[in-house]
Amino acid sequence: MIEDINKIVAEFTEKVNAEGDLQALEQIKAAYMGKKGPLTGILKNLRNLSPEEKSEVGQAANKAKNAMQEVMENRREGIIRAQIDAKVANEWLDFTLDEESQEIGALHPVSQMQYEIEDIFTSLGFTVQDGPHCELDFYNFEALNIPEDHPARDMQDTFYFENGAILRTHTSAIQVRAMERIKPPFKILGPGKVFRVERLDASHEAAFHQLEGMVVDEDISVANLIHTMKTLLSEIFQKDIKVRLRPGFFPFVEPGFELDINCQICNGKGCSVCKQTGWLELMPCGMVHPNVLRSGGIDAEKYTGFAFGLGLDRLVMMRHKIEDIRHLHSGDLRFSSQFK
Amino acid sequence: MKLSLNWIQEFVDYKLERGAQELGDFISLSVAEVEEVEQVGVALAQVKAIKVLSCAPHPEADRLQLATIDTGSEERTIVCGASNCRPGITVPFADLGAKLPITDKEGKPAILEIKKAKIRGVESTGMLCSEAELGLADSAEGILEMDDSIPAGTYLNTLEQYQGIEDIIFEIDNKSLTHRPDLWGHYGFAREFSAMFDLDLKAYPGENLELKDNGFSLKIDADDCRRYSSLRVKNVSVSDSPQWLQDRLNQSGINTINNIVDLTNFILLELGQPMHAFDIAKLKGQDLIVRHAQNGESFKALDENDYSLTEEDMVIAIGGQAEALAGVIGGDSSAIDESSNEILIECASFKASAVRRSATRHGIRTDSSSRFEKSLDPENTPLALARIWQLIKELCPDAELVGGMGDFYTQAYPEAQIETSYEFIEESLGCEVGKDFILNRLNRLGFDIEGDLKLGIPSWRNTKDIAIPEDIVEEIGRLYGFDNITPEALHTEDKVPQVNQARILERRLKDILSNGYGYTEIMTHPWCGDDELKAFGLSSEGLMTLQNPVSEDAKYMKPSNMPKIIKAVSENLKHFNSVKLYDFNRVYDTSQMVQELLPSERYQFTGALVPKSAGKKDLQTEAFYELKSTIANLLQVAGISTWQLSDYKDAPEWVHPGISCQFRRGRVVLAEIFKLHPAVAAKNKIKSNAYLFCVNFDELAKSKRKLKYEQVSKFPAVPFDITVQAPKQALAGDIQGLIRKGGGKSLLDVEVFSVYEREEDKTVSFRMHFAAKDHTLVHDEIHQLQKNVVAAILKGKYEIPNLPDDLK
Ligand SMILES: [Zn+2]
Repeated sequence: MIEDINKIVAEFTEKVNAEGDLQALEQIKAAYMGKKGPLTGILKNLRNLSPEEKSEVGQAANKAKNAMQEVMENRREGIIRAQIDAKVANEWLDFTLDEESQEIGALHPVSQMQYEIEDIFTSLGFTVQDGPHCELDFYNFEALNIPEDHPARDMQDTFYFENGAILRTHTSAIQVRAMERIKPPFKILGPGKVFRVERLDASHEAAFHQLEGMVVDEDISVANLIHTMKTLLSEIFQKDIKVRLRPGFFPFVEPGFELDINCQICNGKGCSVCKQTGWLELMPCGMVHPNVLRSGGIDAEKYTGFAFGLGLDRLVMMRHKIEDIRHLHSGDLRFSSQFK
Repeated sequence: MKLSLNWIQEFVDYKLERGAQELGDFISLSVAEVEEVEQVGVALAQVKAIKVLSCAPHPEADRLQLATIDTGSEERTIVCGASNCRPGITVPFADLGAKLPITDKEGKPAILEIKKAKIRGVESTGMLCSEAELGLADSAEGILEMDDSIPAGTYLNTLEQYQGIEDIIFEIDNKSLTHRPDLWGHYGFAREFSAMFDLDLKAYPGENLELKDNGFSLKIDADDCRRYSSLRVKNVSVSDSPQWLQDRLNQSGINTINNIVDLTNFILLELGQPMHAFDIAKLKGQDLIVRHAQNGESFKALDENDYSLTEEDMVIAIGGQAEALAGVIGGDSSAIDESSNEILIECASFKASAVRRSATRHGIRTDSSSRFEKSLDPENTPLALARIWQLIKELCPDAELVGGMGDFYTQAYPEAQIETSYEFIEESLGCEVGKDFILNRLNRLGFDIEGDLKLGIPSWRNTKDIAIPEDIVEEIGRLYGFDNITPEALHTEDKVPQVNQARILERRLKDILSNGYGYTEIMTHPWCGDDELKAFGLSSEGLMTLQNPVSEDAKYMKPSNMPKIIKAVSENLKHFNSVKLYDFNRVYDTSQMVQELLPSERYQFTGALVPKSAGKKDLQTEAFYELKSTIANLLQVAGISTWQLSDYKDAPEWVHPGISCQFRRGRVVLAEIFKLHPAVAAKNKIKSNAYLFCVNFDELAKSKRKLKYEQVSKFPAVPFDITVQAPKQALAGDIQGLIRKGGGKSLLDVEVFSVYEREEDKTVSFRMHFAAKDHTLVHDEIHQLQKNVVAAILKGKYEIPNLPDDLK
């Protein structure tokens, strides 16, 4: 009987492995392993056998069933895999096409520069402050110790509204608004757009970007200012930057400075950009004038501080070698989309 | 302003011991910005006189000659192209290696370096020079023929005739002198040299003048005149100025006119004090009044223009006629000319603001007005008159004073003192400078020093420049050299920095829009004009309006950014077939004023999506819904989890009425999206479908982003689908609202999975999930929930086709 079983298994295996169709495979399975199949027939005759033989044949039949099951499964998987392989063999696409391209956009290069610098400052403990574009004379001039007959107040430089308000001419206007909100000691940063009466050309814009910084505490000195500026500029340019301070006059600081850096184009050797001097004028800065502290409600006997301003557009133009400042506000994606 | 080193050296014994550029840098670091350093006459030290021994024709060129010359040490043959080159003459010769500063063909400064050269086949070593090549003239014909008595080999700079020509001219940036009235003349800079290099400053030349009546009666009838001094001189002979005077003026870029006028300008350049001379014969009287002009009073100035004055102008009226616009310009009628014999020299001190306003009002900027604008020291007027009298006598030996100096000094600056200390100065600088250094430099600058440390401010720094101890810190700091201060880290204890949440959100949203959704940020101007407003159906009424716009189309502060975005779309579609852009900017809302005069500045994200036109799917709806989900995601990132969608209320004309919506929270509009109205699109030449959005950032920034974790449910969610029949323009969102109401807390989610448009109406199919937080829903509960949902929908007057009986 065991021989019969083996014969059935062999016959089943041969048929299954020859079959390539899943449905036909199921039929073979039903024919051999179903209720009317040969294996069932053999098991029906078991009762004529001795207990030992019964157990022997029973085990053999079970083993055969398992073996057939396995053959069946393998074959089924084989057929499915063959079908997939056939399908895959026919699948192909032209990877050089861009059917559903999902391009990323870009932040404006001035935003990128601004955020980079903000990050440097915030890591040094500065907080970012904001102020309005349309300003009162008080915040832009008076509180900053800029007297009434100062040329900066000329209509040639400053946009005046019919109601007497102005467009802020520098981010320094943010200083006083910030001092009204927060108490010293503090380190603040005020980035934003500022406006001057300028006709638009390749190097002049009526709207541009500045970033104002201010530190107020007890016993702040010029030496502190120089140190902070050096640290900051080295971070921005990612290398050690040579700086020099020249006397510079700004009514809201005393002493006031122009800070120059060694020309990044010629490394200080002298070129047309730096007018052969090897230096580039980068930022005005200075010790906060006591009158300004007072305007902000700060005790100028107790506190001192320094402030500085940075022109972002020039930095951006220097970094990317942008030839025409008008691109910045053009809204032209051929320009903006390059800064991904 | 141009500064001559020679002139400065007349007042201070400064010996040039460094390069010209280096000295320029030093001035920049210590006093004021030097924009350019020009070396005059440097050629003279490099060029020597030689004798031409013989000339022979050049074998290859008719116009050239071969000249054999005696250089004083050897004989040499060189090629020369000058037609006046001939044997026997003495001419300047630049040997190999000489570097001559010249002006190139375009008028720019250049360096001509003399090198060995082959000229048409003949080697030439050196060059015979013209006056132009020596920098002595702008142009020249032929080589310079010199006195034959000059021995060959003599360097030109050692010759008597060229003494004083070698000079260094510093071009100072006027802006860096705004606060320094004392530096608008050479004498002031000489004082700076004295402090920079610790040298003695010579007294300003000129002998004190006696105060005496000179026949002119003087009345000051204007508050803006501090002092009016004058000098009457007769028997002057007006003629051309001597060379030295012309040179001084030319160097500084001032035209020479005649000796008297030139002398007034000379003093202006030397002391910084403007003066004016009247021809007495041409005056209508001898009563001089400084007064305000009458409105409409006419005045013909030296520039030969007629000006109509206002009562805010100040004039010098003599014999009833305005003869000068105070501090700005003199009058034409009493101008000095060759016939003038007796003159009145005015030397006054006017207030800065008055002069500045007059100059600005009439658009006349003169060397005089630009100096008065800086608040000049009134103590200078007698000095200036003494000096000019000294020089007039030199130039016109017959000249005589009539009377003495007339002087009306009504408004002197009060003497001022600053109390400070060595400690304060050093602590402010963060550097030990030393008491001796401080004392020495303050002394050199003219401070009156008393004790430890009371400082009398010298009159020339007392008009506005120096007033507080911090000003003294600056004086010491710049002379010590800010570069010599060792940087020192801030000791400020760091408080936990306050984080500006709005700026963080701004950056986060930009990051998502750009780096997530592929939008590119642009920037636009804050202004608009009538044309733009009109084109977009906006009114200019009540907008913030500029008095002095750069142009008419930049007159108002924009009330909306959409016109800018629409224009940007239109422009960019010329170059791209799809556009994704945004602007993070402010609009200026005048409906709610702040601090009375200021508009509410509202931050907005405004932007546009123009999908690629080549596509297979229903792009119209797809792009709208894509944008809708983008905006919804931005709101969620800002921490806003719920909002209502509504029709676009009070839509401007650029909004498509049927393809638009607003994200609202109650009456607050958080954001809006819409298809650009086809009519506006057509007007702006936009042929593609454009979808626009506006996110009211300030509203988003108000919301706090709170993340709340909920336990992941262990109990299975049960799905339930239902199809609702609805009118064509019914909002699926409304039905969803009904479902939410019916489902209550056990409704996990609901979404639309298909919309089927039919002839008369449409069907919308929803899939929802029910679940409980604390147990598995049993059959009865599920059935009840389903019934609740159905009831809610039916109550909303929608129909549910094929509704099973057990749910009715
Ligand atoms: Zn350079």
